[in-house]
Amino acid sequence: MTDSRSHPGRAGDVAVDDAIAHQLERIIRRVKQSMNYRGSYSTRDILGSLVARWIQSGEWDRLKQLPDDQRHLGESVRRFILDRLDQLRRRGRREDFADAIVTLPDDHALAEIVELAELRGWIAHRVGELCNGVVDARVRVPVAQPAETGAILQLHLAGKTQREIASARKISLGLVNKRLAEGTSYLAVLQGIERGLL
Amino acid sequence: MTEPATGAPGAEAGAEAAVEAGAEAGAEAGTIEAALDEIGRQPAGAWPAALRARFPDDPALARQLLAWLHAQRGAAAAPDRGAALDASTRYELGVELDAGATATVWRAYDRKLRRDVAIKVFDPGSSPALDAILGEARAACEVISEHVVRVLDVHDAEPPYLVMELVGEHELRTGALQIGASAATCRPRDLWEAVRWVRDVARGVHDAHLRNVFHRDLKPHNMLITPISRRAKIADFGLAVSNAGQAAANTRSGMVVEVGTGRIATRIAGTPAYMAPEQARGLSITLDPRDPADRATLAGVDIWGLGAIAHDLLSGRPPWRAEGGLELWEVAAAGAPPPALDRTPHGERIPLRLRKIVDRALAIAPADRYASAGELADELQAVLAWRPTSFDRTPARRAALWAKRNPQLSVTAVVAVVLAAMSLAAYATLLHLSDQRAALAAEMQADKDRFAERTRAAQHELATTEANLHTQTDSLRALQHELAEAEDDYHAIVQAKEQALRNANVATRALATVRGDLDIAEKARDLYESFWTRARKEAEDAERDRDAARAERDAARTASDAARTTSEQAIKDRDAARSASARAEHERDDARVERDRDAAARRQAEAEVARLLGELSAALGARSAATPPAAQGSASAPVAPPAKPAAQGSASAPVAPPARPAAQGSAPAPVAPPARPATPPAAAASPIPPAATGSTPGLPARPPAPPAPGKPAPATGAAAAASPPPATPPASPAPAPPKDAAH
Repeated sequence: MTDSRSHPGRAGDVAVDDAIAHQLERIIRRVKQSMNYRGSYSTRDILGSLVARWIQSGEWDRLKQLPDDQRHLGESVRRFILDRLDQLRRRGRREDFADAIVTLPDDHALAEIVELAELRGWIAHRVGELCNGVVDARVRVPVAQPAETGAILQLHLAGKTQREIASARKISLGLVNKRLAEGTSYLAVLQGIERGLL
Repeated sequence: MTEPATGAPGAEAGAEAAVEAGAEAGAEAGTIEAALDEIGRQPAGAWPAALRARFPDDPALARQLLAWLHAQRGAAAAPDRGAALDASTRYELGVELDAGATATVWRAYDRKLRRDVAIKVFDPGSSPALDAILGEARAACEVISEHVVRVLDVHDAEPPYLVMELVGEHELRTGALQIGASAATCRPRDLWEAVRWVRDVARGVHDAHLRNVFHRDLKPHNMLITPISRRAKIADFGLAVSNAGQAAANTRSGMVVEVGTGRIATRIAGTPAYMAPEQARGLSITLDPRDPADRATLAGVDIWGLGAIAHDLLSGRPPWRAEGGLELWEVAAAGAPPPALDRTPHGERIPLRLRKIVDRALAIAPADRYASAGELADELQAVLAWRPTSFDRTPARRAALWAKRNPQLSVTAVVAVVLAAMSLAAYATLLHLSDQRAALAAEMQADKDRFAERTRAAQHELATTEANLHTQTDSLRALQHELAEAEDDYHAIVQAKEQALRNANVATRALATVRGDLDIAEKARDLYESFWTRARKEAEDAERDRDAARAERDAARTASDAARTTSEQAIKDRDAARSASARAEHERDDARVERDRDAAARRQAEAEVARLLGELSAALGARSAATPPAAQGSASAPVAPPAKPAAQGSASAPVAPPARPAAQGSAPAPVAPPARPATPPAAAASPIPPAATGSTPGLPARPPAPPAPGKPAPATGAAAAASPPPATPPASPAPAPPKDAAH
C-alpha cells in the first residue's frame, strides 16, 4: 500500500475522503435509521413518529414561511402531541392526561427529530417513485429492478420482515436482502446528491 | 424533394445516436457494475483511491460509487473501528454478523484467551451514551444463566464496544464452528420447539429478574439460537433496567409529561411490535428494580415480552400490527387485545392449554399476567412434559395428561381395565345366558303342555267332527233313502197315471164304442172327447210335472254328491238336501194332490159316464116303451145305438147295432164314432135333457170320488171339488161299460 502521508497531494485527498466519508456516514446512518422501523424504539423514536405526523399535517410547511423568531416550533409540536395522546387515550385504557403539558427535548434535538421526520417523508416519496419504475437520472449507479426494489422497500417500511417480504413477493430471502441493500444505497446516494455532497 | 432525403438521414442519425447512447449507457452500466464488484472486494480504506484511479475523469461518479459501496458495506466507519480494534492486539475482527441502527456485531477472535467471541461495536455518532453502554454491559454481566448471552468485556473508550459470548457450536464430525442465528431468521421447526425456546428464554429472564435485571426489549430478534442443540439465549440488554441510576441517566432522551400539579417523567422504549401496552404508554424513568411496585411493573413488561415472543413464534406474526393509520406503538398503547392464536404457519393447531398460557402472558392488565417469568417457564415446561398447568384443574384433564405422560402405564391400565371389563362382561353374559336358557326351557315346557292340550282338544274336536260327519252321513243316507222312496213314489204315481191313462183310454174307447152305438150319445161323446182331450192335456201336465220332479231329483242328487265330496260343507249340503227333500216332499204332495185330483176327475168322468149311461138307459127304456112289441122283442138285445127318429121314415128298420171291428176281441176296441143320422134331429129329438145340454162345457157337480185304493185321501177334496175339471184322466181304471152297452 502507498503511504498517503508521504505525498502531500495524497494527504489532501485523504482528508477530503475522510470528510466525505464522515458526511456519507451520517447520511447513510440517517437513512438507515429512518428505514429501520423494526429496531428497538426509544422515546426519541416515538417522538419522531409523532413529529412525522405533525409534518404531514402541514403545520411545518406553515411555520417554515415564518421568521425564525416567530416559529415557536416546540409549542406547535407539543400541542400536536397532546392532541394525539388524547386521541390515543380515547382508543384504550390510558392514564388521564387532561391538562397535561408535554415537555419536549431542546430545540436542537427537536430540529433533528424534525429533520429525521422529513427524511422519512422524503424516503417514502422516493420509494413510491421506485415502485413506479422511476429512477432519478442523477444517480448514475444502475438499479437493476427499480420497481421490485421499490416494492420491497415499501414492505420493509411497513414493518414487514425480510422473511415476510420474501413470502409475499415469492422470491428468495437472499434476493430480498440484495434488493434492500441496493435500495438503501440508492437512497443514500440520492440523499447525498440532494445534500450537495456528491 | 430534399426533405425526405435530408430527413431520413437525420432520423437515421437520431436513431443511431439513441442506439449509441443506449449502448454507451449499457456499457457504462456494465463498467460501473464491474467496478463495484471489483473494488467492493478490496478493503474499505482503499475504495477512494481505487475509485479515483478507475474513474480519473469522473470524480462525481467516483463519489457516488464510494457512497454506494459504503451504504452496502453497512457502516462507513467500520474500517476505522476495525483498525482500532485490531490495534488493541487482543481482538481480531472477522466477519460481520449483524448490523443495526446504532451498532454492528462482528465475529472476532480473542488472541489472549484464544477463543471466538462476538463484538458489538457502537457507531460513534449514533451510539448511546457511554454510561448507557456500560449499563448494558453491567446488566448483562449481572445475569448468570445458560439462557443468557454472557458479556465478557466492555471497552469504554473510542470506539466503544462490548465483547460477548459467541453463540456457536462445533460440528461433531468436522469440528467446524457454526454460528447461531436469531429467532427472527431461524424459525422454529414445529410448535414444540417454539415452546421450548420460549421456556428457555423465560428461564433466562427469570434468572435476570433474580439479579434485578429487567430486559424490556424481548423479541425474536434478541433471541439467539444455537445452531446444533437449538437452544435459545437472550441477548441485547441495551434497554435493560438494572438499577435506578441507569434509568435516571436516560432521561435525556425521554419525554416528560406533566400531569396536573405533579410531574411524571416517562420514557417509551422497546420494539413497537412487541411492546406491552403500558410500555407503549411510557414507563416512568425513575423505575427502581429494588422497589416492589416497580419490580412488578418491570416484570410485567418482560412477561408480556415473553408472551409476544411466543405469539410471534407460534403464529408467525408479532402481537401488534399497524392498522387504521396508526403507528405500531400507538396500536400497542391503545391496549386492544392482540389477535387470538389459532394455528402455526405450518398449519398445526395450537393446543388450547398453550393458547391460554400465551393469552395470560399477553393480558392487557399487568396484574392479570403471570407473577414471574419462572411461573411462565414452569407452565411451558408443564405443557412440554404433559403435566397439568394452572388451567388444568379437573381430575379428568389431569388423568388425561397422566395418560399422555405415561403411555405405557396407560396402555397397561387400559388393557387391564378392558380385560377386567371383558371378564365381567363374559361372566355377566354367562349368567344372562343361563337365565335365558332356563327361561327358554320353562317356556318350551309350557309350550309343549299348551300344544298337548291343544292336541287333545283338536283330537276331541276331530272325534266330534267325525261323529257329526257320521251323523250327517247317516242323515244323508236317510235322505237318500227318502229320496229313493220318493222316486219310487214318483214311479208309482207315473205308472198309476199311465195306468189311469190307459184305463181312461179303455174307458174312452168303451164310451166311444157306446156312443158310436148311440147317436144320442153323440154329444156325450163329444163331451167325452173334450173330457178325454182335457185328460190328455192333464196327463201331459202330469208328465211335465214328472219331468220337473226328475230334474229336482237330479238336483238333489247333485247336492248329495257335493255333500259327499266335502265334509266341511256337509252341514250346508245337509240343509240343502233337507230343503231339496222338503221341496221333493212338497212336490210329492203336489203330485199326490194332482193324482187325487185326477182320480176325482176320473171319478167325475165316470160319474158323468154313469150318468150318461143312466140317461142313455133311461132313454133306451123310454124308447123301448115307446117302440112296438116287435121292437120290444129285441129289448133284450144289447144296447144299440140310438135309433133314428121315427120321422125319418125308416122306423121299421131295426136299430142296427154299431159296427164292431172284426178284430175286436177281449181288448177294448177303439171307440168308433157313432153313425150320424142322415138328417139332424130336432131339438126335441135330442136324448139329452135341456138342462144337461145346457151345461155341456161345465159338468154338473160330481160326487166326491172315493179315494184310490192304497192311496191316502186328498187333503184338499173340497178345493178339488171347487176347482175346474181336471185335465188329466182319472188315475183309477175307468169302470167297465155295462155289458148291455158292450153288447
